[in-house]
Amino acid sequence: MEESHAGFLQEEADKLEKRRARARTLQFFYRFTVGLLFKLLVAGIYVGIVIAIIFPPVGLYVLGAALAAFLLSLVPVPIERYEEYLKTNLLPEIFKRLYPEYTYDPEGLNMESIKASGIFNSSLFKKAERIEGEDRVSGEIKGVKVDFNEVEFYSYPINWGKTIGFIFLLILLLPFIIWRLLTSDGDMSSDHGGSSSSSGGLLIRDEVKFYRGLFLHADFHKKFHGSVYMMPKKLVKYGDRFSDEFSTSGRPINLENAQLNELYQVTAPDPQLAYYLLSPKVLESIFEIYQREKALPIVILRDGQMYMTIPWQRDYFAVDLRTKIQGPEYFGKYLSEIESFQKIVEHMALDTRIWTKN
Amino acid sequence: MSKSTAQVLIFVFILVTLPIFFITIPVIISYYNRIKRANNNIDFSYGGMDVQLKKRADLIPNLVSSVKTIMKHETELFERITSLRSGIASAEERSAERFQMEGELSSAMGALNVSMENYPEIKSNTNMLQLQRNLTETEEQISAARRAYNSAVLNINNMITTFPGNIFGAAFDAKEGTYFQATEGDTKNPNIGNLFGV
Repeated sequence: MEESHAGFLQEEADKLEKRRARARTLQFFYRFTVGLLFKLLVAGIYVGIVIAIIFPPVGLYVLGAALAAFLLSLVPVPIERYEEYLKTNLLPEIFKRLYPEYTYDPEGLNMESIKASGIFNSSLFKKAERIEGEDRVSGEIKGVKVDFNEVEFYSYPINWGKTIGFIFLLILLLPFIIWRLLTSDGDMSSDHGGSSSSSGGLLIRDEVKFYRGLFLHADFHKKFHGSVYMMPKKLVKYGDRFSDEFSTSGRPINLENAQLNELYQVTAPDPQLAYYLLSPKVLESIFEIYQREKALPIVILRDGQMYMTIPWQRDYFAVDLRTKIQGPEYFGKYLSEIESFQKIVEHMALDTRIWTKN
Repeated sequence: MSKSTAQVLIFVFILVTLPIFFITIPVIISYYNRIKRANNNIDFSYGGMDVQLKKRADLIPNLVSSVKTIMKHETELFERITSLRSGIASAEERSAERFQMEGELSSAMGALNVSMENYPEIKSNTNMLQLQRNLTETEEQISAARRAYNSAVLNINNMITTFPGNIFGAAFDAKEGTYFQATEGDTKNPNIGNLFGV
């Protein structure tokens, strides 16, 4: 590492250590004060809602608790502040100084490429109510345009078990509600009207993260038209998540690499195109990624571009409050993660641009 | 023969011949179609490969005539390339002999590429580079087509050399395909860095 970089990292490490120590202490207090109080308030609100049906004045306490919970939710979480500083201030600066060929965006999402890739099923985009991106790195690796980011797909399906349980609870409380309606002097009617109008609110939904992984888009070193799909066999059964074009994209192709043949189902409109793109070197590289990362990437080569996603829970540039920052070595894990991006591209031999595409 | 005996015999006859209609005939048709499809795949793959091999054969005279005057010490290599090219033109299609010669030609072209490294005037000539570029691209296409062809050959060979496919294969006159084996040059990655001082 260059001396100027080492000096810069040392300086940043010192600053970060001060923030880390402060964030760690604050996080400890936060967890046992704000965090605990917030959880107690939320629990109290749920109980209060049920009691308020029987005894409406409790509703005022529920409102108060809801207001307090709202105010508490505004208190910044120390670990999140620390992460925000790292990702919005420090990492972009590290990229700028050490890897000027890349740009880093902590919340970037390469949606256009994700959609163009055809990796994910079109129905998945309809199903996904929220798609989030994180840690987007884009730039050039040895003349090859690349774009990486972590991607997460979320849906909010109705949890029928919880919904039925909630409705059952309401039914149990129905006699009390009716009794309150009959005996009330009219004040209750407005409350009752409010709850019934939001019948949709009776449905309890879960947040389901149904896909998380690294997504890569790179300019492939060969010019071609058509799509070649490499789908791990164990993922083929998840037809609802991954490419709907996969099953209809062409003929199955047998690879010469017996191990990859065991792991992958490959389809292409023309075997010659598949073998042209999936050269022994590219196949070897995919196998090396599998061995190194212990994960099978889904690879789609389409119209001169390469798209790849590695389904995993790995979180790039994750923060760690427990580890003391003693010097520039601390950044080693972040630097190695940046280099792991490079390795993926190098493994795919995308940098061996034998000739230009033209 | 009594009526009841005749009825029993007819019943036994139906019982014996029924599998012919519902099992044997469909199996025969299925094998026939599979063998035909596998043969068609070989023809298709061979067609794709032949296009690339012919493209290379057309590129060779241009390349050789362009570099011959500069690379005066490679006479032997040029002679080998020319002789292989004319040998291929007269060889029987899909024969092991032709594939052998095509493989040797790939090796010779690889050797020519490496030798060109020693001639700076070639490396600085853009037309020459373009020609070499086309040739390298064609070699890659040939390699892909060869792999597709070999995969098709493997498919039919597996089908007609294993039981009961070997019986149907013999009955339908199916022939084992000839593999186009890779030469040493095909399996190596080209060292382009050395070639152009990248």
